[in-house]
Amino acid sequence: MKIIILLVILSLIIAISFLIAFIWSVKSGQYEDIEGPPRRILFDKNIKK
Amino acid sequence: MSSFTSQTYCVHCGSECGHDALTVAETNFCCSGCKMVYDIIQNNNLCEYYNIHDTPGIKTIYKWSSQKFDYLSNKEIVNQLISFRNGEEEHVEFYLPQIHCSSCLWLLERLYQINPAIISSRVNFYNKKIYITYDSTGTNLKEVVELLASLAYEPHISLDGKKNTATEYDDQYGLSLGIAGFCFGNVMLMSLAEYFSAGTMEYSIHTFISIASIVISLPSLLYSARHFYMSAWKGLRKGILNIDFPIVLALFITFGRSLYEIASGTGIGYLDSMTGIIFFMLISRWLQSRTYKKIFFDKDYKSFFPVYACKIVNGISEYVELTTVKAHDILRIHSNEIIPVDGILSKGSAQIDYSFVSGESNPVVVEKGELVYSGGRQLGSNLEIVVAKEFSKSKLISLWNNSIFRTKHELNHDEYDKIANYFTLGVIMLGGIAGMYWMLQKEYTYMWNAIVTVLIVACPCALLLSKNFTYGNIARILSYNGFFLRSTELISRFNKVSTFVFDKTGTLTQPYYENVNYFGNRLEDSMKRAISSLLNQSTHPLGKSIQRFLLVKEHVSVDSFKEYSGKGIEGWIEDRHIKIGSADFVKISDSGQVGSVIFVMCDSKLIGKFIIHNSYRDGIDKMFAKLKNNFKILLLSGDNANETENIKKFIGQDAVLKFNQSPQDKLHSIKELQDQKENVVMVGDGLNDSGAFQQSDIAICVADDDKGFTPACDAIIEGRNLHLIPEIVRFLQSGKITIKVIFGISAVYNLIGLYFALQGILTPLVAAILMPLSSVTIIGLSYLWSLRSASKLLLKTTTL
Repeated sequence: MKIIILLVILSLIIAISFLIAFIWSVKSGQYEDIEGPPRRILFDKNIKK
Repeated sequence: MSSFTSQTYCVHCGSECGHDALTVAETNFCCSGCKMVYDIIQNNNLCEYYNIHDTPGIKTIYKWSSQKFDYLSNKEIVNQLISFRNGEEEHVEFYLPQIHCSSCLWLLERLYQINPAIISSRVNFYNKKIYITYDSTGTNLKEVVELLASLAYEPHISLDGKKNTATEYDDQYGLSLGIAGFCFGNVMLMSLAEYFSAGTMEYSIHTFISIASIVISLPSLLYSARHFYMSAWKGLRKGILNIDFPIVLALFITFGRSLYEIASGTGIGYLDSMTGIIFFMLISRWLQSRTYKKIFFDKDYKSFFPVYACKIVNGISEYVELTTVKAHDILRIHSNEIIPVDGILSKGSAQIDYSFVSGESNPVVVEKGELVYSGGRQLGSNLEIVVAKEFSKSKLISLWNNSIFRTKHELNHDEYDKIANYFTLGVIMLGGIAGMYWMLQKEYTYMWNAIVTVLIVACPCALLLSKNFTYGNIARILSYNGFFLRSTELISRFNKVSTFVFDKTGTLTQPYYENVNYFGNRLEDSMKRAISSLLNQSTHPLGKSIQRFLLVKEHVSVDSFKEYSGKGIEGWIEDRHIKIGSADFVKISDSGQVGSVIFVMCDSKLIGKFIIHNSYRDGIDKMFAKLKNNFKILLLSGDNANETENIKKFIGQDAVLKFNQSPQDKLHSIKELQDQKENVVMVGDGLNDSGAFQQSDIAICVADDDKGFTPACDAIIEGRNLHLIPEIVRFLQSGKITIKVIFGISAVYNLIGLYFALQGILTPLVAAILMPLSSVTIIGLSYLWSLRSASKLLLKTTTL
């Protein structure tokens, strides 16, 4: 049953990497404007002149 | 051009097209301002703007003069506004309160198509900000601002425009919340292993899981929970046991107890419950803090005035900082600018709108040599004034700084916080009694179990959560309805309200004087002159409105003039017989119309009609009808008593109205009411209400989009939503019942927990089930209940 310790460590590593990703996303300002991007994504990238 | 029946709407801003309407290639505009913006957009191939969102444009009410942004060519000023410079590249950040839809976003991020020297522009939609980078060799700050203004997105530049403290606050909660959630989830998983193994777990695995739980719970305890520590510590330093104190106490006891259990090998502790408490409490805090973000309260006079003044030195104008202006300087005031300092009019004819300062609704005409006061808006052409007092000594500023107006509203903790404190005391006593009981029985293990677990299970979290969540939901739903609370702590104050006091100008009335529209045959200049001359004979307010609308300067003589009171007037002008008046008076039948309709007849032929929309806000008659049932109503106006009859129509014949009230009078009137044990809500808008705001129990400020100024107040309501006040108040009061019901339910959970705890047999498993279950019940119920009360009152429950 000791294998469970290894499994717990592995799952924690995965969980912590997600936590780090979350902290990075907050620090890089991705939550500063939560209304703009959902609107922006609907625009055509390059409009023809 | 315009007809009696069909109604067209402006393609740019969606307003009704009245007499100013322009039609170009089957495209309708309500005014030349809108057409100008449309032209710029069309010439730059940006018409997609109109496809993303219907009529996204902003109607420009005050047209800016060409010199308005001249001060931005001053190097020093530019350096102050620029946030970052990289070689030739300059970065600047503006607050654009006009941003409201996807089209705004789309257009503002394509500024480079209009001005190629703009390298990039990026909108922060949530904070209504734009970040612009431009090449300073190709353009300059002034041109950038002018471009924004010409698109009707005039940036808000003010003396304290750089301050922005509200943003960081929210992010901190976000990060804390994420970490707390992580810790809670993972500690819970660890504990589950223990719960399901039913004591059969190998010792080494048990040790590993216990240590892992402690390690994982640390970030939550040390980082996420710091908001509670800081607040509790602040309270302690002031000698108050505030609401965060019992939470901190419960957290420490739970953590200590868990460490002890793990170290002594008697169990795995209550770490899952502890991280759960932190997580759920943080959600409720975060929910509350979100409402503050969008709006800035306590905007003082500094944001109302321009930053710079145009000073004339030896006949040459230059821009200087307002604070450096001294007495005897000469300042030029452009059309539609706000007069920044008290001064003597030396050049030009002044027509000054003091509505914001004094509440007077009509512009005041000031002659040369007379005093003009700061805070007024010049409606006519350019002026020159000799400064009488420097900025900080001007009447308006000294009024603002007057000590009676500065007594701060203390944000007292409300009754629920008090209950929560008693609750904590009760719990501690209960734990003590249970401990004594077991001590007398000589069951020492049970004694310690009882004392500690009672505190763990019955911490006042349930009460706090039900309050915070309900208030958070209420504040959120109200923000969809254009009502913003400074703090959710204010909600319980609405339970005691007994009197509503209203200001008139700017509060009950629209911010612009009249809304006059003309429909009918085209009015020749001679006809305009004739109408205006005839109306000149009368003092009727509607006639004055039409005169202001026609803008005729010279008048001709009127023969055989006759006025029929309440009906109309007639007379002979330049050999034409003109009749102006109601449908009855000109003997035609008219279908029901909103607002006052005034017909014009020339030589017995109908020419057209003026529709004068009530300058009062829509729906206020219904608002008063509803408010009257439950509250006393008083009107305090700085204006004269001309409108008495109109207002009585809204409020009722028995209404108490007071006119010609100075800011001090308003303050005293409210104090008198309070001395009669009334609990007063003041609804006002301008500086003349700030004294009343400070004195009242709750101050609600009515704000229209273009005003960058709100006196210190407790809540802000958007002008167009003013009529929702009765519903909003009922909704706020419904919070009390919601909290009671939810608290009752969570008390059941607590009693179950106490049942186990008092016997000294509360296991971590029971705690781990009860705590999150009660939290989730509270969150869910509070959400659904608020939603139900809101939709019952027909309030909006989504942003759509």
